[in-house]
Amino acid sequence: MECPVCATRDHPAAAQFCAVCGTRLISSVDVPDSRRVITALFADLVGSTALGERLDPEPLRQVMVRFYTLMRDCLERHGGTVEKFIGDAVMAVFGVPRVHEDDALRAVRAAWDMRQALMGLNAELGDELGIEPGTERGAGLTAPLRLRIGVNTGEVLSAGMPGVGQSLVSGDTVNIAARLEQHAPVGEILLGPDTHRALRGRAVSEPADPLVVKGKSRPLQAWRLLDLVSDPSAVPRAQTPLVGRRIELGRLELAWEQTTATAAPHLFTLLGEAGIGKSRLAAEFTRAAAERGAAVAVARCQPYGDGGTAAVLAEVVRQLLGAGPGTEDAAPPPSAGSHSPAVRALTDRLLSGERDAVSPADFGTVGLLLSAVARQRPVVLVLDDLQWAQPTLLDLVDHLIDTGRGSRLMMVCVSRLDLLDTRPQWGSGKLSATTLAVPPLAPDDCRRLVEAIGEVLLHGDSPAVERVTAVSEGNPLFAEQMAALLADGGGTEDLPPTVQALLAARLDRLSPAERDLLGRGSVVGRQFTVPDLTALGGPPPASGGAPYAAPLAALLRRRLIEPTEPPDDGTYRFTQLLVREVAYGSLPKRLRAAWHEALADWFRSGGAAPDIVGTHLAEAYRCLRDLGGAASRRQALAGRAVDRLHEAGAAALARGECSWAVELLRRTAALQDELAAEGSPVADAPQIRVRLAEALITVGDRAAARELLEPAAAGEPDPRVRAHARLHLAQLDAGSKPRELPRTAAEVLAVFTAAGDLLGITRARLCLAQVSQRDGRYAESARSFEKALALGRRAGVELEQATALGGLATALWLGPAPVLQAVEECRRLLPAHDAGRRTVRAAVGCPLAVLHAMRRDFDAARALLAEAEQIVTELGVIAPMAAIHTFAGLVESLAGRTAQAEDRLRQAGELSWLAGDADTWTMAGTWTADLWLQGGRADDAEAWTERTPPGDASGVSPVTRSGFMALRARLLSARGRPEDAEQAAREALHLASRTDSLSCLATAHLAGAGAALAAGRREEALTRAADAERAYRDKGDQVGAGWVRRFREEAEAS
Amino acid sequence: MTAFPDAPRLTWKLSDLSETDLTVRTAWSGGVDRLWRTGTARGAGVRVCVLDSGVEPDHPEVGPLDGAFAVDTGPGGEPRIVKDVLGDTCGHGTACAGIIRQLAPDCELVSVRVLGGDFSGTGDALLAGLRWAVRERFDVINISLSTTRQAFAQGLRQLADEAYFGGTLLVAAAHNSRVESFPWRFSSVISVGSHGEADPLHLLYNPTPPVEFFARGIDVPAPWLGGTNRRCTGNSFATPHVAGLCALLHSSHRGLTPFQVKSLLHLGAANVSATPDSAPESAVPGRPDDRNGIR
Repeated sequence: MECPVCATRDHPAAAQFCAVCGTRLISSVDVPDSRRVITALFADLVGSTALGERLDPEPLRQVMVRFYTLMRDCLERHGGTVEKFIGDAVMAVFGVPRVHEDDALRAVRAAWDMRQALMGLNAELGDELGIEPGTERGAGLTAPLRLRIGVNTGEVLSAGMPGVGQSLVSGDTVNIAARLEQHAPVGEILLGPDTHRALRGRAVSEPADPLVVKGKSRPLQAWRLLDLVSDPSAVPRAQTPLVGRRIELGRLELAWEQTTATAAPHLFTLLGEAGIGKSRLAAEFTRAAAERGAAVAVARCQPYGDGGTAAVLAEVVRQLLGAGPGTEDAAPPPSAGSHSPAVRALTDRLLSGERDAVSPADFGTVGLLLSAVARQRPVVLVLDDLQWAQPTLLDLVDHLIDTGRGSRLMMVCVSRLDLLDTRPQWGSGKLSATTLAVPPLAPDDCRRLVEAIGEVLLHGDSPAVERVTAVSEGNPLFAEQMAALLADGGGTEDLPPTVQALLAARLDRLSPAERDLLGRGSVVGRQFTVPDLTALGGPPPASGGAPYAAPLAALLRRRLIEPTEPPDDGTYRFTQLLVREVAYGSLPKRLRAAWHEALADWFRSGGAAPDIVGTHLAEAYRCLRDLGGAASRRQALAGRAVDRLHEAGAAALARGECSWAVELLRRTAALQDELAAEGSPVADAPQIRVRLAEALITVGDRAAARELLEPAAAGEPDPRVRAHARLHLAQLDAGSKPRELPRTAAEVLAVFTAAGDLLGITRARLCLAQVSQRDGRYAESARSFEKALALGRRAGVELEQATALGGLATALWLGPAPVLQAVEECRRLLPAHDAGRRTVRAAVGCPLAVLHAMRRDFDAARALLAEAEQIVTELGVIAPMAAIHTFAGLVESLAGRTAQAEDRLRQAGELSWLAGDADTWTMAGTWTADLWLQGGRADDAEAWTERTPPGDASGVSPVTRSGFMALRARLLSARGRPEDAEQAAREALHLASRTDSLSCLATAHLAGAGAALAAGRREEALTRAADAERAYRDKGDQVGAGWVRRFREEAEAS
Repeated sequence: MTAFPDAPRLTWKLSDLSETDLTVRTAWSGGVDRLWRTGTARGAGVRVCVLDSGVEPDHPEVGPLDGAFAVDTGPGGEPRIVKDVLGDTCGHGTACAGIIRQLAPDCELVSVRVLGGDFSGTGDALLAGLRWAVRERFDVINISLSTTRQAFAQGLRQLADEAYFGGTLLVAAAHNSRVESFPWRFSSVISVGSHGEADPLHLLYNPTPPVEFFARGIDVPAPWLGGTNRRCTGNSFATPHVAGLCALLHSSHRGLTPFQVKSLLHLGAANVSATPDSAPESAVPGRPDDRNGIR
């Protein structure tokens, strides 16, 4: 057991008191420690020494006792706990033993009252002791007693029970409050940054000089309190438009019409969690009702203090008889004179501020007043925050609705769900009543709200807007507070203090068993099952019934958790992510670490995915690291976490789940960096970095991949890792340095072979196959792809197999294999390797589509392309899109659908331009220009072909270059420049003969035939056309063969 | 008493329209195609201002700026224009500038930063920045942002009118949702929404405004902070496509008024065809995208 005060451990199990400091020891099972956000207040009395010099010890003692009493009254009236008086100083805490949603505001109000109270004491001392009174804040050098106050809000560890005479909260928050007090000018109240933030709109303050605090790297921003905003309902909410809520407004409007039409009073109750927008909805309705001539009064109950039933009614009377909501004029309004003497007496009592002005005996009089007003015009009465109402007020509402027949009175009661704890029957048994639970905003509405919070909004996708929308989950207050925090420079992961306080207060009102359950669940995650909870050990659940049945039922009723779909599979989730965050945040890190570790074991033994196990291990490590202490144990945990996450990331990558792989490997790399920063690097670190780079390449983030690969390729000691990095880099650079790739691939192949690295061998082979393909040696590339495919199967790597199959299919399309045989081969490849792998279907389907088109089966071709397009879109991979558009363009141009072909090729050109893929870009452009030439737009085609032809080092394959030159030859022929045309055709043929592509050869021959015909050499033209026809026939390209036929007919006709 | 009145005839989003709605016939038969619109223009000599979150200096995909300014608070609390030293605060302005550069590589680009971080732009800063830019008589001002606050509407409308008759084109992004905001909502500006085609020059005219044109705005590759780039989605990124097109028009046809530019955009839009009987033109007619080789 650990002492809550001095943290001494290792007491005997039966020990009742701490052996070092004597504090009573509390079993952690009875009263668990918790982390909580509190507000600490330090106040120091200035001037008591001088007073002591002038007073006898006996009256001085009396003065000090009165001072202590006054201060204690002020603090306790606002719900604070006085921790201790030390000489002239007092320290108090707000948030212990109970957290309130407005602890910061309570503390600041207490500080304000303390200063006021001291002014009163000074005045009394002046009278009694003949000391000249001064003013607390004025020039008052003569003021005998003055205060310096510091208030600070922040997280502390709260241990055990209050009242053992020692400070039970500890942490930096308390120290900073003391520093603020020491730095406060005499008579001033200084606020810490989180207190200031939590007061948003409730107080007026100005920045004070930042404080330099020992042990803090940055100066602490402090704020000087200038004034308090007395009426919280006057707090201006952000002037955002009302979003959504059509249904709710419709219901209110309907009730309103019914009330005015039937003259029967209506009770309309708006229920909902804090911040969900109940008051905003009521305000929107009352605004519209007032525009239609209703008399409107809006009053709000207060959580504590002077805002009892009388204060609420006084506000109602002031508004109904006076100028409307918000008027501060306390004088009885003239119209009160026309009422009966009983009504006049009651309004006088209320308006003079009598605290006990209302009892059940007055209910009838209130009814008279309301019906008198309602006779002149309909009345809307809004009572807000009814969960804080005194029972008298609730009874009064009942009475008014039950007895107000004939009154055009609509009462809009606005309350949190807590109202149903005290009045479960609220609203039932009424003749005319509506109860409406205000739901969270729909996600789109919530996003619109978030967007409308700033004065000026960017019209792009904003991660900040998405995060606020997601986390606030339709709660407008949370959204506004989070947006405000962001605007103040907070991070997107920060929880605004106001929201934290609201939720913490809600959780604090739960029973210990319910809190315990939420704490356990929060460590599991957003979702949990009962077995997960019991896996954490600890106190046995209540006897009888299923484990955790009672607290589960209670939490479900309170809508803090909900069953997941399907509802009966025993899984629950936190209704709000923020509730999970606050519940998690309240657990001591020591406990979090133990539970995360226990969960890692539990999930591992249950066969859960390695990323879940790894994530829990990583969290356990981070908690332990924050706590300090022995490094070896936590580093062992982190080592296991790295292994599991790396395993999960590698598996995701192998499955082709590229974005998820990037996410997992990023987490792995981050954890490994944290370990390295602790001086305990992971052995696998270089492999992790290279694997992350691989994943990044697959999702198209080439720059980030390069950043990881370059240092690994240069300085990594492990030759295998270095070789992998070099190979990836060479592939990234293949466009700009095409000659490097085969050299690097051959070099690393030797390294991989020596090391027996099957994956490396597969990749190097794949790379060499791609080089052959790029150089137009398709038969050779097909053999290499076959080899790589076999290797990939042995290594069990799917992505590499898919790439090899895609390459194989391309070789079958462009290479010497006849179309029918190629189609058969492709059909054979698909089922043999498909096995549901959609990447394979896309990779093989595209070239196969063109093969189908070559034999005029355009429907089959289009179906394959549509499927490939869908697969690629669903996988979220952008890179293959350019290729798919190119294939589709080819298919459509073979089909003679010019407009569709042009459109596809244009998209291919655009995408490949952006990706820096010169080969695809040139191919798409060539085919487009070809279409123009055929369509009679020779000018456009010429403009394009007059560019410098791509050269040897351009990264454009000889097949594509040959096609480009063939097109130019045909264009020049059409332009009547036969000599230039022949030159171009020769170049086309030269390039084609370096390849084994029959299609390419045929195209070059046909271009040459055209040039010969243009030069008037008909015989030669026909011979060369025959060469082209032979190549097309060998390939089985029916479309191409058709072109030759047409050419021959034209030539013979000429 | 609802906040957003139904206005079924007005279109915010391309998805609100059917193919039939989108087919627009015009009596004009002058054949304004892309060839006429842009020719071989690269935007030389056209002054374009990006009113946004700033632009990252020397981003390789944006290149050198011809000026960078910011709205600052003067000693008396009044907004004033100063030289900008911060660059871009969130990446958004860099993306917009980069897209304009993609279309009009030789135009002059000037950045005016009117925003802090993600949420901290003020209407006063927007007004001050826009006033300055309008009085500087830029040819085109790209505004990929707006305010929902009525308080700024009047001031913005006056500036938009001043720009329109002063020869400055305001190209403004429509709100991504069905939300009224300014200045895109004014008839004196060119308002832009998004389509999902990958073609940066593919433009659609909306026969039922408030949104007048749709341009590429989904998964747009664009430069971002730190010399990086990313895929951006939103009307913010459709808008600089139109701003870039306007710059091309200006550089190939000097002295066009905002009225004329808007008419040309309409006539050249892919869904606008000349005669009632002919089929709609293919997506983007005209010559290929002539950029001088890939590297």
